[in-house]
Amino acid sequence: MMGELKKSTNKEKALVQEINSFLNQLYSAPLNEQRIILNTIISLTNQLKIINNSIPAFVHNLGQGVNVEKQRPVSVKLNGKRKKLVHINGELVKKRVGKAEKRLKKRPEEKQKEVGGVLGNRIMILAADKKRFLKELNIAESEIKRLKKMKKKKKPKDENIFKKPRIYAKLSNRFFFKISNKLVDEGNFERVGLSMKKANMTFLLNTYVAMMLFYYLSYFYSLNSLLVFLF
Amino acid sequence: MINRSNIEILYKLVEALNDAVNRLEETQKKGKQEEAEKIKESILDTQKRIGEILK
Repeated sequence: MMGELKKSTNKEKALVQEINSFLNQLYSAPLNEQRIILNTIISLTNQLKIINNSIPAFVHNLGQGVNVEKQRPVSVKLNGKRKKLVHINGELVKKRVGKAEKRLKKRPEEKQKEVGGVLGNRIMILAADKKRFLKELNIAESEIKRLKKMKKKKKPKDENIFKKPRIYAKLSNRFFFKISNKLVDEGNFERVGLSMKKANMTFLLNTYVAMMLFYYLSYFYSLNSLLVFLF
Repeated sequence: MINRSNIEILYKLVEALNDAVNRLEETQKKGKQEEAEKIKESILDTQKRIGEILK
């Protein structure tokens, strides 16, 4: 019973952490995602409520199982025969653990059922809440899946915005960055800059000018070397 | 409903509950009955407070 109680409290902790992370996402998310996050938070909260409501039943049942072994037996005469009995919550019961537990059977409303897929992660809740808990669990899982799908769809767009710089642009910036900066600062390429904005180009004006310069230099160098090679 | 302001309190309460359960396990192993009963009461009290926040 103690193990189950521990699992329940651990589950509560995990749920609160999960709710906290969704709350942090809630305010920065777009409207369509906010609705899903809110539904997830509500269902997680309901799960938390169900687990929390089952704790008193655990705690009340705790002592009964444990004390049976710890108590010293008292010999009492019953129907002319001497029997060894132990005190449990003011009652004298037989020492054998199984029978003592049977006598102190839980009340029907406190009967508990195990819920959970993996055996190691099982938690105990009240039998009356089992259906509700499973329903909330399904809601939370499906909403989280939906949210993940939406985020996956969004990712490619972000990748397009932040492209790696091209090697050609990198090289031209290395050689002509200072010159291109100076030229742009002087206001020589204002119209080129406007045209670039209209064309929705991903380059900066400075980089574009550096590329222009690098292209002319490499063109003249190659032409020069070709002429030397020919004549 | 849980919001940003009470989530921290909730987390602290849940942690306190966790600690109390661990303490209860240790005291029961040692056989200290009275202390165990006190811890049980504190567990129930914390559980109630969590329930009030979740309302």
